[in-house]
Amino acid sequence: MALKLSKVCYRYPESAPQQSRAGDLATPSPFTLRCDSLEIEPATMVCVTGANGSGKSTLSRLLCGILTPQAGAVLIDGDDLTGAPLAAFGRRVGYVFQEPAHQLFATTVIEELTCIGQLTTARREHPCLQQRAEALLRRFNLSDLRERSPQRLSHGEQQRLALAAVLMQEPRYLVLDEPSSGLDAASVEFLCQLLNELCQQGAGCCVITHDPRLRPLCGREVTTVAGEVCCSTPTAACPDKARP
Amino acid sequence: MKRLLRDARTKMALVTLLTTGAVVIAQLGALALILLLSLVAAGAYGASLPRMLRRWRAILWLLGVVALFQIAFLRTGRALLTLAGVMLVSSDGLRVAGQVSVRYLIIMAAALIMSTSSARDVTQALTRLRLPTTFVFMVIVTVQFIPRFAQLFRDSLAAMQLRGLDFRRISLIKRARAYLYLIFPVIAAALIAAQDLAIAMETRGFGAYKKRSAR
Ligand SMILES: Nc1ncnc2c1ncn2[C@@H]1O[C@H](COP(=O)(O)OP(=O)(O)OP(=O)(O)O)[C@@H](O)[C@H]1O
Ligand SMILES: [Mg+2]
Repeated sequence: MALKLSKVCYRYPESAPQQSRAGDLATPSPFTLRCDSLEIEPATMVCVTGANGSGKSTLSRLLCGILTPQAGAVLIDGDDLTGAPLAAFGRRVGYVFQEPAHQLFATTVIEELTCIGQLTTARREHPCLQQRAEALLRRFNLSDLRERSPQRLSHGEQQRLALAAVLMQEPRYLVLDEPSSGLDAASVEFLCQLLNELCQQGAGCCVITHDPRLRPLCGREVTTVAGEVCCSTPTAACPDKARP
Repeated sequence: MKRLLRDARTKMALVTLLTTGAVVIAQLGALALILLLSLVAAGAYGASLPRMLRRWRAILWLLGVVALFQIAFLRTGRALLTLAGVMLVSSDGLRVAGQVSVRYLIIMAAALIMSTSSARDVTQALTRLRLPTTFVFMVIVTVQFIPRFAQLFRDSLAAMQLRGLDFRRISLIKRARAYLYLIFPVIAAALIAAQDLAIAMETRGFGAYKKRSAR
């Protein structure tokens, strides 16, 4: 039972063919990510660190199925989901993008939480959806903003809304791409508490972060270095690992 | 000759010709011919059509939805399909839907042709044509922003599916509604980006001098 990458290799496609002229630099080969083995068990928190451009977001996009590896497999609770439709991933894995605005598309905050459910479920289940949405709004302190446009919220509010929207599905695993970037101390505190709760309820979390305030929560730390997913060490055993 | 054909200016002239044709011409047959020409030209310039089709699947869908709306709401002309006395499909509706779709497809093919030149080549070509700097800048900005919006569009689409929406499992009407949701963040982001860029340019003194040295 885990969200697992096994012997995965992903290479971004070559950019569109460009006419080459004398004096042009040769186009560098596209970025490649390799991961021999990565496992995220339920009720654990794994943190991914690494320099800018080392492939953290690429790794997270592989974990949630947005990118399909050219080699290797993505397994969720033993099922091979490599190349499966995104909706199949979405039922088990929740993903919060590095840029929260990229995953908000409704016209109001409350609609953001309910719109997908309304498209996928029968009408008689809508009141139940509405209740879940209201509960999440209260939990995320967004009740006052319910009629506002998600595009006009502050970055921190967007981040909270994006996470709330993902939790509407109650996924078993969560992948968060730099969830604390741009948050103030109180919001980070709130995020830590929330992640702890989710973890205790049995969710497996993979948190991409540079934030020293989030790292103590994680049981394990994974580092990406120039596309190689390297050491997978318990943070307790080597707390200074991968610190610059 | 080959170099002349591959010059960004030649492509620009071609693209201008094709898109002008797409906007001016109204006959469906002629439009289809222009589309065919554009696609052949894009193929000749080495653009990969299957890859573009895959990437633009969502946009093509959106085009289909818009066409359906036109067929549904335009009720003039000959009736082609009636149900219990109510006109469902009219000749005008079908014609307009076809026109609009083919026009958009031509514009997409034109973008495909331009995408085979690098942004730098396009900038140089425009500057050499002695066009005003402001205009050149506008074109560059537009060209540079397209990949960003495309990424935003793809991210929103992925986010939607990850939240459990399986496009193949819902009805056509719901699918149309889902695609309409996707336009919204792109437009909002475009407006916000345009505002930010205008301010950033002004703070860096764009337009403060009539003449630029790099000509
Ligand atoms: N769509 C793409 N096509 C080609 N290359 C890409 C694409 N997206 C990212 N890359 C490249 O892959 C590399 C890793 O990118 P990635 O976004 O995974 O880095 P990251 O570790 O998340 O960085 P950051 O800390 O800045 O978020 C970068 O060199 C980037 O240029
Ligand atoms: Mg990143």
